[in-house]
Amino acid sequence: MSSRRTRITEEEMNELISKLQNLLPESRRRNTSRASAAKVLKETCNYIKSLHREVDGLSDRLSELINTMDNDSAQAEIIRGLLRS
Amino acid sequence: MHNNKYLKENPNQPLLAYHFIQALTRINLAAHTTSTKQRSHIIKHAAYVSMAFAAGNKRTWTHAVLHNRFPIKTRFHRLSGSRRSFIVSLSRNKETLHQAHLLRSLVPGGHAMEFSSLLMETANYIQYLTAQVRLMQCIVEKFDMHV
Repeated sequence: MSSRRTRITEEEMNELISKLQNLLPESRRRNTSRASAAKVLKETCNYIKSLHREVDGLSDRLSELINTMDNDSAQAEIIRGLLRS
Repeated sequence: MHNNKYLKENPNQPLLAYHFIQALTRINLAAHTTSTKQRSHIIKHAAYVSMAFAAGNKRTWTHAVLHNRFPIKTRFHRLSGSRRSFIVSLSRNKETLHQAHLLRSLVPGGHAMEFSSLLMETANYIQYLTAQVRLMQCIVEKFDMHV
């Protein structure tokens, strides 16, 4: 692997890492309070995995619900409901 | 600093909702022809595609989703960006590199990104993922009230 200098500074890197840390939910942030970059990255990985799982689960739910609903009225309700909120 | 724009942007919620609901409407129309499991895959795919549309094409991750059809596994083009990426300083240990490697597998197009881009793209990706999850939860709630 050829040696090249880092393009961004250590400081900028740490700033990016801490910004990433701030995106983690409160419960995960606790684990990284002594934030080493490695810990933040690890928690970030875990968080993304859990979000992927949530999307999977919600897709399953939506699929089942579509199965059971009546066409027009439910759609209209959803759209109305979402526009209201 | 140039990278601030990645984090200032808040996901465009209405746009996200618009794309996803459009997809759901289409999926619903074809409901009688699909099994629940098939439909679940289609919905999941639609979720990632709407996220990518809403986030716009200035991001590497959105390109990866729209062209490689993430999360459905295809043999995507490994550009070995992780090797091309600049040598991290000596203070960055093996563990960090290892975690960064794992992260690359989780973020669409991650393997083609330089390390600093990976961090910024990850932040953006997480923002959209959480927005999408919230949207789907919201829809499930509305459904539940009427079923």
